[in-house]
Amino acid sequence: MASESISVTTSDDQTIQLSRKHAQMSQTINSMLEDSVGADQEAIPLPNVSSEVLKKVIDWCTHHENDPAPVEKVKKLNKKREYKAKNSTISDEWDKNFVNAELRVIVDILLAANYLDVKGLFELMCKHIANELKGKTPDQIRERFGIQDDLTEEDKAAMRKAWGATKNDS
Amino acid sequence: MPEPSVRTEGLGSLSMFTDELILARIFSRLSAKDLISSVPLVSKVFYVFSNEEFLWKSLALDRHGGDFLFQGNWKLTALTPKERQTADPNAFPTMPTRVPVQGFTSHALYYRWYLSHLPLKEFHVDHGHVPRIDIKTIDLEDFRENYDAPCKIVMLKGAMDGWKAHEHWKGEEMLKRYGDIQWKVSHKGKQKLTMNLKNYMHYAKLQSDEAPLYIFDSDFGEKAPEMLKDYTPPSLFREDMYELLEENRPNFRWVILGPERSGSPWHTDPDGTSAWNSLLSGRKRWAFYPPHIVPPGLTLHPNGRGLYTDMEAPFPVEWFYAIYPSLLPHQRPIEEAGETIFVPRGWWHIVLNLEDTVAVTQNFVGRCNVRDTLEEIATSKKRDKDFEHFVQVLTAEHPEYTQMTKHVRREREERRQEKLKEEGGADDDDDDETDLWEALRAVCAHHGMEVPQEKYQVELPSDSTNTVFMTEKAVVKFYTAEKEARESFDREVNMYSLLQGSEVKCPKLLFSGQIVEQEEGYHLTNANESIEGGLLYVVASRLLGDPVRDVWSTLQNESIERSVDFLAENLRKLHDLKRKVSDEDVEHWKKFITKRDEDLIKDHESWFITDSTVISQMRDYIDVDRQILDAPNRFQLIHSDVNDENLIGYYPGQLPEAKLDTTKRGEGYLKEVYDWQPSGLIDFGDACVGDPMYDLVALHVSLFRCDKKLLRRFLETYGVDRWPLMREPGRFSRTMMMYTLLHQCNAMATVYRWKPHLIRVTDLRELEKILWDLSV
Repeated sequence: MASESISVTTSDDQTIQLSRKHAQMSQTINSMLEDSVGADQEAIPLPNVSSEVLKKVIDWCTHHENDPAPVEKVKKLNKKREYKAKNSTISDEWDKNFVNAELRVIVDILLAANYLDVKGLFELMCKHIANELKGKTPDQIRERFGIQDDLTEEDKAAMRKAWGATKNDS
Repeated sequence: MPEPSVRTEGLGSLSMFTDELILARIFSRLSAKDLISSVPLVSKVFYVFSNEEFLWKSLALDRHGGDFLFQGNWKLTALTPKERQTADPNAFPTMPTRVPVQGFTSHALYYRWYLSHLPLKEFHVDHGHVPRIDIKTIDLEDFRENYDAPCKIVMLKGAMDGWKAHEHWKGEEMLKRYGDIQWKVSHKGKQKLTMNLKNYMHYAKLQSDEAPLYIFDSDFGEKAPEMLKDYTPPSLFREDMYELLEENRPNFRWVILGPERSGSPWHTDPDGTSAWNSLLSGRKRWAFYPPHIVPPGLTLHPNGRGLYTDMEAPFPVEWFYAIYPSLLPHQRPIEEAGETIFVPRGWWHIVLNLEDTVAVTQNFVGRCNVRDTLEEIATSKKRDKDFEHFVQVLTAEHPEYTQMTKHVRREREERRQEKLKEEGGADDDDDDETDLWEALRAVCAHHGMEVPQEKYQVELPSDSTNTVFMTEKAVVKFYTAEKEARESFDREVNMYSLLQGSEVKCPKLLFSGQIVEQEEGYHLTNANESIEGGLLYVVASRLLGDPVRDVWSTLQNESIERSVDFLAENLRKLHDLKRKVSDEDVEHWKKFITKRDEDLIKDHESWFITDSTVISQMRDYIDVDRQILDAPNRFQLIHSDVNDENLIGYYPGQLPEAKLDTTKRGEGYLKEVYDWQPSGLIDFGDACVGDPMYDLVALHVSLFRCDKKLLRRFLETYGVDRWPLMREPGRFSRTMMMYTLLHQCNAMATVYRWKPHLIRVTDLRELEKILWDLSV
């Protein structure tokens, strides 16, 4: 019979136990489990995820374990071909607190959520990064993400001028 | 650390993400203001990304809805207020000069650009594998028989003669007549969009989108009733039982307008409907997959049918670009202007417009698909009301469907009961299989075969009374059906020993025996004596390939004919295997038939398949003693269930040693890959002495899908003189019809699956004629 906890091995060679329910919130792990029904339960290797980040992912899954499955939401969209990622509002207070972390960690969680295919977490991290860009000045954005300013003043002047006329319309 | 580059320096921490992720998941959430006033000034890469057209398309539609004049590109359209937009390309606002960016390349950006500019006009070679026929040369009965019932795609010519739509739905004339209507437009976003025709045509002409906006309007008949007079459904598609739902019927007719690259993504039509689509101008490329094959690139909803959950299911141009070559030629026809395509129920399809197209399409529920419709709406609890309503109006108008609706309802109940049971006690569920899994490993080990380590290495064929495991090279069958285990084991082993010396193409018996579970493990022994708790098993070699069931509907004539001949030769050899039959064997057969005859009415009534009028005729119709049992010289060894699961075959391309020359193009290459070859017959668990005519039942109704051309060919290849009753056509068809009704496998259900329209035939003699009379 299927056991109730799953072991995974992280990139830093830690073996971590997580509940089957949380493991199944990752579409990637879920498919691995489905593909190996009946196989001896060896730890699933997750070479792209560190134990530090995985613990964060599990925290998030624990908080959201009773959320409706993402497929149910998609069902409502029915035939829409591409779910458009437009909205960036984060409404859950716990989530707001969760994304309040070092940029390095945010980036790693997003990459992990993408690799593990935890849809809700992935969406949350993308929203958060979008919010870090929204309404910010170029300087603020560069500073936040460690971006080099490779545009000349001439380029910038051209860009400012370009849409000056239409700027107020939007 | 990677060497600093324009990309890593210009994206900072974000350089860990792919370009597609940054654009489609992060930048897609930014406002127009962000994308013009701050983002481009961050770095060169940010500047490039901020200009991406698909971001601006979404912003333009958010801002203007469908009320806009396309300004040559989406960025200008989004940023220009409605009152300043113009239809004159010479007066479009000017794009500012681009700031040059060097040292940055992006596959994601290139891919989108490429798909947006992929020229399709020349992409229209049609191998002609989908038949094209003139509608004047085919009558309704022929159409049902050859296309509608067997679910075959066909392209009809001349079905649109006399339509005013040819003139009225064209460029300026269409604008004049229907220019003010707000047309429903489908696009990738969530919001509902409508556009007037003038704005749409202006957009369609100038756009270069990877997935252009597409007019797909189900309400044109309500918005512009005069359009309904511009066309008439082709003569073959006038029967439509969904009309009985009147104003409650779901959307069923659409006007479809779209430029090059637009189209519909993969879908099946709702509610088991079939459809016709008539093309007034342009060219459409279609692609099809049969109902049981989910097109690559899609994931089905685990609980639902026909719904996919993959949020990034490719849009048509991308699908054709990336995956298209894996389609067979008869799965990808081109529809030319003036043609009408018939889209059979349940088939997956995708459509890509190769030019500017105007088409009209309707879904319908005819006698060939009414059962599919009932079954489809019976799958969802939410639709119980719809189901009851349709059953009510349907049976009021057509009482002959009463049995069928009962049957569908009962299946629905059984499904729901089963689900409840599963949810209640999931734990005991696969115990049985788990036990046998260990038994399987013990059998393999005992006989020195490779022991499967993981469950995915073995297959479990679906409906089978006993438990069967298939490994790569062998088939292991455990006789788990309690009562008849010994009997069917003996029968199968005997049969294998007879077959071993013959030329019948079939698996070889490798081992047989019984296995007992004891405290210290499994004990294996021969099968001579029955042991308490012993489980009998046989191990046979595995034939190359898979059952024909799944591929039959897609086979080319040549492959089908080859299979028919193969069956004829092999069944004849099988029938001839036993030169002399014993009295005991004959007694056994007689007992079997007598029992079938006794249970006849009870079985048919409980199956809820055949109409009660037909059932009431059965007693008088069947005369077992005189017509069936009184034929001693006919008794031979028979297989007794030659259905479409028991013929195995393969595509040459599947062969392990196949080295396909992929540089070859065209028909020769396709033949090598797709030409299905039969490899043999399986399942001899029901083999016995009996009337070979009994074998024809499963063969004809299951394998041949009731196609008399194939039956005729079979009998001729087998040798007509070997079927004495064929000299008396009346007796032949009568006897065959009796066996069809007596067959232990509910053959009538299979008949109605392949010939759904026959449910309307309530006279047994008429049914006999249609199914078995070879002179008509």
